[in-house]
Amino acid sequence: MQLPIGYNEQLVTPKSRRQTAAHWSFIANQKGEAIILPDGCCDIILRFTLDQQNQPTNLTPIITGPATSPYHVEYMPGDGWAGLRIYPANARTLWGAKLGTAQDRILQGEAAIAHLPYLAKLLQNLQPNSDIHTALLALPPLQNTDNDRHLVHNLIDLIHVSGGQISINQLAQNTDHSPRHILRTFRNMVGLSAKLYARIVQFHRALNLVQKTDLSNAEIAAECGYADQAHMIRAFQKFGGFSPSRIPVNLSLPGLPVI
Amino acid sequence: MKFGYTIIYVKNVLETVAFYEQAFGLSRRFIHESNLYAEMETGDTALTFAGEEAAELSGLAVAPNRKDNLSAGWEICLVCENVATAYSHAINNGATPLLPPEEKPWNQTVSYVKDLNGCLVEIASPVRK
Repeated sequence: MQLPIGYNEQLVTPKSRRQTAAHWSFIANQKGEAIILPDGCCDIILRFTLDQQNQPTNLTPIITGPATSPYHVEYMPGDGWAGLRIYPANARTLWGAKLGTAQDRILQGEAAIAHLPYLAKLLQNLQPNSDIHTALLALPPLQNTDNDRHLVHNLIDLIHVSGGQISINQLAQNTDHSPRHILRTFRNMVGLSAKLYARIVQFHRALNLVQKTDLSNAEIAAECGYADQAHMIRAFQKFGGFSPSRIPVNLSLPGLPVI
Repeated sequence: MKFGYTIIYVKNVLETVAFYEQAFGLSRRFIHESNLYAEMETGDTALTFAGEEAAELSGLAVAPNRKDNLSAGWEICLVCENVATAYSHAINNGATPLLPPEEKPWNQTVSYVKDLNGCLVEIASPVRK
């Protein structure tokens, strides 16, 4: 990619998106269902329904663990969600000692409030007309003060740059640590093994190529580092619940509209 | 079709530009304000560096270039009259020594170093007649 002299548009790179707590929302205007694809990240979500006056009611807080499986959501007109996607290296900060069992877990309502008590305060302070997004953004930031956070940021970047194809040994070599240390540190902070996180990244790149290019499945499998087409098909089943030749139209991809 | 640019994806564009200036005496043509892209002043055969994020932004996946890795199977070749001096200057300014200057039977002096990202750089003289 060449950038000509004088091209001044601010570049929003995947890396810069990953490092912010992305703020997303969705309000349904018709009945439907969606498949939320896993991206290895945790979310803090407020689910609500708009009443006759377009005011959010029935607010339910939700906290999700590191996502590795597709999740089906059915909705009616007026159903809405506002969420904060948490940078993967901050999963430990969000889940604390429970991160080890948080993979694909969903805490709703009281269970979510019991885990993050300031969610109760957030719900109490919401007035009619108050902006849910602003309220969510006012949550105390998750301060990751772990000494190993820079190492984990580095590992996450290397995994994304290589499309999930970098090996654990290469990760270790590129960061001057032992494979054992990076495996333990990654799992401890992200809540998933580095290998599983890399497989999710690999799947999303393959899905992107299936959707955007005319390449054959065999070509995409080769480009994305799958041993063969069968391995790629298994990854699509595991992380998406569909096959590469039958991509559903109602997919919700990571990097939902950020407002 | 004509050859346009060589673009090397690197971890840190600014550090790479500074390294090429110090170790090899090249100068920068421009650096994009995002710090994700830079061109060196190398005439028509432009040598440029882009951040690894730019590769990801384009939907590419790459094997990251890192100092301790096996070098990728390609090189850049910089040509100068005094190879021995340029080789020592590069090494004194952070390049990793690889193969010291050697006279080749086809009348060329050739040496190799690795840059800060582990990429192969050949420092060679023009082929003398």
